[in-house]
Amino acid sequence: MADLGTSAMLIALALAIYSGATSLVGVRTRNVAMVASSFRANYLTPIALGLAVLALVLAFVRNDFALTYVAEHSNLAMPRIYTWVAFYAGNEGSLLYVTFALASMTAIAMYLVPRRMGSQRPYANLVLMLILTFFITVNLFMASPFATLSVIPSDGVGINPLLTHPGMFIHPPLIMVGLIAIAVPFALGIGGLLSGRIDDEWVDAGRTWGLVAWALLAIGLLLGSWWAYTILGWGGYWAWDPVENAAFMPWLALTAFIHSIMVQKRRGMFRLWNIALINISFILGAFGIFINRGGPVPSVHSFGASTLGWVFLLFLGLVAFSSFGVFFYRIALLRSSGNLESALSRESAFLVNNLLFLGIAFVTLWGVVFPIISELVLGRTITVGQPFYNSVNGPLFLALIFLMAIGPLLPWRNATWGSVGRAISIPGAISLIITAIVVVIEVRNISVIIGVAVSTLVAVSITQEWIRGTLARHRATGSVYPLAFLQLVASNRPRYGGYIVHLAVIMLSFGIIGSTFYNIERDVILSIGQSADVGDYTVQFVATETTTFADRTERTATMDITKNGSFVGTIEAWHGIYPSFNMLSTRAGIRSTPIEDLYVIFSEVQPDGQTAAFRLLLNPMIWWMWFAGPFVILGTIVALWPTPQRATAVVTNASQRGTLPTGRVS
Amino acid sequence: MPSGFHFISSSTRQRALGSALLLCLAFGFLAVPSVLNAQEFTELPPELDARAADLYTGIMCPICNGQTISQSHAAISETMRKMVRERLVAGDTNQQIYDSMVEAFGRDILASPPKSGIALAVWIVPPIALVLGGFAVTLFIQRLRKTNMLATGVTYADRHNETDEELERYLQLVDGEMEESH
Repeated sequence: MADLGTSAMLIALALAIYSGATSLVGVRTRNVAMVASSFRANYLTPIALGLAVLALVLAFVRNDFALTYVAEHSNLAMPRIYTWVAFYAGNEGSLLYVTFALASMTAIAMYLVPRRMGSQRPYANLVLMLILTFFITVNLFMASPFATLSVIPSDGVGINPLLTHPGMFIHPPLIMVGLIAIAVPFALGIGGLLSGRIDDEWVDAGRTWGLVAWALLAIGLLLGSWWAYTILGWGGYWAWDPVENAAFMPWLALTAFIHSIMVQKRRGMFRLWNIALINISFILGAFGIFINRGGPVPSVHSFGASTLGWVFLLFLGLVAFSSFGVFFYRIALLRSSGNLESALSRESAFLVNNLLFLGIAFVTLWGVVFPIISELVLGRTITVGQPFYNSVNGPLFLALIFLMAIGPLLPWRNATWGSVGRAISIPGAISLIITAIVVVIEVRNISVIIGVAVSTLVAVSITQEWIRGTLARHRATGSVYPLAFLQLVASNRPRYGGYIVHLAVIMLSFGIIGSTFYNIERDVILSIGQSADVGDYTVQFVATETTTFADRTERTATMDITKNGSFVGTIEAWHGIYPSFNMLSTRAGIRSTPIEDLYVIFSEVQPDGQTAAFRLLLNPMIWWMWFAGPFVILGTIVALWPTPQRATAVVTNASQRGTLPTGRVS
Repeated sequence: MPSGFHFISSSTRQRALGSALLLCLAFGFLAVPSVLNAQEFTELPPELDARAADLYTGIMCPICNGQTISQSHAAISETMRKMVRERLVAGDTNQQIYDSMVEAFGRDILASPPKSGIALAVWIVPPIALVLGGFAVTLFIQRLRKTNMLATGVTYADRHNETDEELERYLQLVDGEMEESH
């Protein structure tokens, strides 16, 4: 297996180098056949890497403990299904996974990129192959999953029990793919700069792949939060941990990008800015990989010690230096063709949006790097924790939500205060009424009041847009209302897909506000039969059961829940003790409703087996955070669904004429 | 030493620190907490719960890779949470509690950097950056309005015939109806 894997990776390395080199030489010498060959080599790399992936999977399945990586991350007792997780549980395997994902996306992206992009294609391919070559090299020579042990152990160490959770099946792979997926739009942008004809042709492909990376990260982050909430057993979902931040920052920059790229598409503006944004996104992505896989800062996510820090730091430096090097070298080409007619327009709203998203990304970056700086300069780490992020980023998020209510109502080019006022009058009134009600029922926290006001403003204004559009369409075409609504959404998918995602953001916002400001938390010790109150609930400790397995001892506590005196159900809180890992893994008992979650952590049992420590939490509205996830996916799919191209004239297949397609299609 | 500190005899604390540190180093994660003693557990009156929860998120577990004592299951965090509860019951203010925790465990356990000395930079830089950013955006908008007046205005969407004519038509319709209704 080791030989097969290593050979496959060597072949992939050769293919990537060949593809990159022939792309460069081919486009320089205008040799069409060579460029075509370069693309074919590109398409073969995921197959070679797929073989390496297969070799490692087989090694896991066959318990081939001759491989260091397999011995360290699995054992005979591990259920086969966890091979999927064990595969990326350590640096070597996760790098192979990332490399394979990058190669696959590169092949798909380069295959789909329209030919009219001309010499941008081989240049983009060159950039992607350089990145791929870097990753294969590191994976092959510095962190090979196919390294072997001289003495074959009879059993492996086993899988980290924290990873054996459904969330872990999807969260880490999504985040890793999301981070590396930014390479595709980045390469398209840089490829355009290198080819010297950066116009708006990269906009569609760049937006598509930007959205893909964005959605992967968004869902990955949400699932990570859900995992933390259900298994880490502290009742929270987001800790501003350095590794969370490392995935969050590129997501923020990408969010700015996928908004701003629409301005270039519709108005031919912000050309310079969009390239800068995608550069920043990928640099932050590289920073994310450095933090995640290089391990410079202590984090909950430090599952495996890493010696690869300097390698990824080097990668980060190279990406930052070369991307902005090319950017400034070609800056003269990046003039905008449109102009701004009014400071009050959707274009300006997008600029403010970008400022806020990059502002939050900067604040977060600052919080991550400051401890590193203080360690280097002062020799003393200054901790920058949750309170800093909450108090600085909180207001910025509120400003963003407010902008989310106003921005979509502004037309392109110019708007008048009167038209904005008319559009916002109904949502504004409804939002004021709801806010007033909230104040009357004793909400005194100013952040909450503002949060509720802006969130309802967005929700109502989106609803108003939908109702108005559907009514207009119904009257114009006579379609029945549901059909009219679908036609409306189909008529401008980027816009209405965006609205769906905006609604999901509002659900998240309510979930965050409720669970941040109104959670109740109690630490109690209960003997069997005793009960404790939390909010309107009474939690009674009914029974506990201990089961011993080969690798762990599991305990469950059964709790009867009554609300305002009437019985509402039973929940089970679980924990497992893993002696070989000396770890405690908890799975909270959660009674989830859209209004509030009752969350019971079963932390410890006394030697007598009759008394245990519990932490009881009441998390209002947190349910909405997980409910929002499917809407993020739905909105992205709607926004990405290809619009049928009307009357696009692809005049010639230039490659048949023996020249590269360089000119734009007229 | 204030009352309530007595139970963390130095040997207990070292043992807790030692074992938890070992575990955290090995796996960077949750450590099995020591066995709690029911007699030593301080239960809070409900009105103090919120303050306790707030304090927990302000104090880092000293050995657990960036987790606060609210999140961590390590023995040392159990101990620190217990200390916080005892001080709350004793009637201390939040500041007094933070001070006593710093005295016992060092400055680095504060999750929120102090607003003094070099750490002040943590708090000052973000607002400055935002103000500068806002200034830059304003300038950019001004420049976009003044220059580029000779620009062609031909966009990607125009070239590819993607200016949704249908959409524009119905948007006009919508606008017309808006006018009617006002």
